Amino acid sequence: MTVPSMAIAADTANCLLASYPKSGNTWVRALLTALRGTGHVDLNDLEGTNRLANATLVEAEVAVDPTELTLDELDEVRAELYRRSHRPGSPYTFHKTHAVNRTLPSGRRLVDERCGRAIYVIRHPFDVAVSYSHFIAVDLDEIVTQMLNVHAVLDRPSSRRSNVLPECLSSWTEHVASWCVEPALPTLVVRYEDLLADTAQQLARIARFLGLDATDAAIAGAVESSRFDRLQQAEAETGFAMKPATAERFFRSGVRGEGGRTLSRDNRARLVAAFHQMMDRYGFAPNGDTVIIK
Amino acid sequence: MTLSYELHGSSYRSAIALPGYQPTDLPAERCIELGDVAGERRAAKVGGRLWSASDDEAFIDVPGVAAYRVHRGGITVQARGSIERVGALLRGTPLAASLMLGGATVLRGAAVLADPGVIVLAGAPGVGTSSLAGALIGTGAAPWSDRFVAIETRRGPLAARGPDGIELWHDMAAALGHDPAAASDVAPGIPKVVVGRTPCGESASPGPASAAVAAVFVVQRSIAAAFAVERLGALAATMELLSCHYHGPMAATLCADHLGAAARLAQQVPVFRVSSLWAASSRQHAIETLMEHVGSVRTAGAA
Repeated sequence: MTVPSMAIAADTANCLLASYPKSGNTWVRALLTALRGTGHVDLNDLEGTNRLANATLVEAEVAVDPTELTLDELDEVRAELYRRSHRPGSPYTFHKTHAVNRTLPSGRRLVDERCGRAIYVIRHPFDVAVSYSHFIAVDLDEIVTQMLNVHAVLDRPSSRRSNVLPECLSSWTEHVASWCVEPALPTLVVRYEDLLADTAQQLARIARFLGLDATDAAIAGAVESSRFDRLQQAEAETGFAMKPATAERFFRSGVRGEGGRTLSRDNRARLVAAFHQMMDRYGFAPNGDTVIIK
Repeated sequence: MTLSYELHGSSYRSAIALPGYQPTDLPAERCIELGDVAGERRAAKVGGRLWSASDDEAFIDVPGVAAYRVHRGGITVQARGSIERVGALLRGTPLAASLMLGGATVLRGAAVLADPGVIVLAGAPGVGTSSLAGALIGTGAAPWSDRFVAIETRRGPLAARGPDGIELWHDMAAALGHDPAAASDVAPGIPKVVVGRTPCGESASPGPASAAVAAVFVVQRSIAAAFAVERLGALAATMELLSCHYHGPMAATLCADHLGAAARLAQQVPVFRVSSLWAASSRQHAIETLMEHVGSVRTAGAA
């Protein structure tokens, strides 16, 4: 018997909005919010909340305290919830995630083609490092070390974060590979730098991927209401619940190429040595530039 | 191998070891057994994607660990993962559901045994009930229950004794003066340790299986407010107690008298609302404020 479900909307198709942290995920959420709604973007009511990182919502679905689950167990639960909630052909529910799409102890992936489809937002790792450093207020050496760590976990549990569930993050390159190289589900890769260069073109790609009937005017309207300066202004006026106490503001800079100028030679070398194959694959140059193809 | 346990006031014969509980030689009322949980189920009244409940049965599926079927005879477990993890998770919702079916009022939170009786700290996950319990242990109280507190309201109110310690996150254990490195984590990747046990693993305060409830503190996390304690009237207390039922939708289905039990408990004991700002700077003030109210309960009881 089907009984009412509490955390994840019924009868919708899943679309994962996946990225390594500070890669443009929230901007894509704002664009989708504007495109699917009236054009207005309420920062604190964006499409694609990370429901399965919320302990209360996960507990409503599984009935055990998710903070008592190991990371492997928690991801097995998430995998099952993504699979059971997916209704192909129905309107989309978006799910933000920063999790690596890893293979679980049961042999299944965290998400696969039975769970829906995914949009993966990718950004030059140098710029990710600078943005992430400001976001959690740690120095660049430490951020680079975290980006290299294949065992990295986001939001490790503690007494202060007990309603935010951890996600396995892994290294930047493992993260990208898990979603983009031989993807386990239909995946559209969107580069942050391409979004900056031509937002309307990239949003149109996203709309086509999702089968959304979006006119040029609707695309243009969504791009206009999701401009970086407008999001900054909205954050200043209404605040943004996603901003951690450690960050001065969520929407800080938004530009590309900052990492090439800011990171030390040593840190750039560390990242390139570990990530060069994936950087090359996505046009991220070792000097911090990104190849933009019009 | 089967073990007998006294679990929150009910006796079980169990095929699975349950960490944190001491085996007994009491005769068992119910059984925890390994078996196949597939097959015919009662029509569910409420549920999520991985659980369901009817009037006299609950089914809980934890992928990679186990499926649990809770019924009037006990709990049937279909193990899928390590038996240690199967037992660890059984101590949560499956056991709470079994106690609800037995008629207990099961509040989410922790409890300690202090001078006036059992002090129940109830509240939603993450509000800091175990942390407050850990703090009270530091003032001389003994651990009484953790994760949830099973209360018998028809003959009491009596709070049944739970596991033999309180689980705290590493950072909170350290903040309260415990050494997280001195004990092993409750499971790999879950940075919690148990405090309140004696070194040999036995309870710091062996004693009866149940004790009278002296007061219930309903804890709410408040970002804006400073730590504050307010005594509630009967109606407000009933509503707050209902909100603290362990897994409310399941409790409302399995425990037919859950509303009446909350109302009785609100009449039987003082119920306080605690707005908890659990910052390091206010911790000492919070403990002192809480102890003042515990003291007022003791004084009223003596009078």
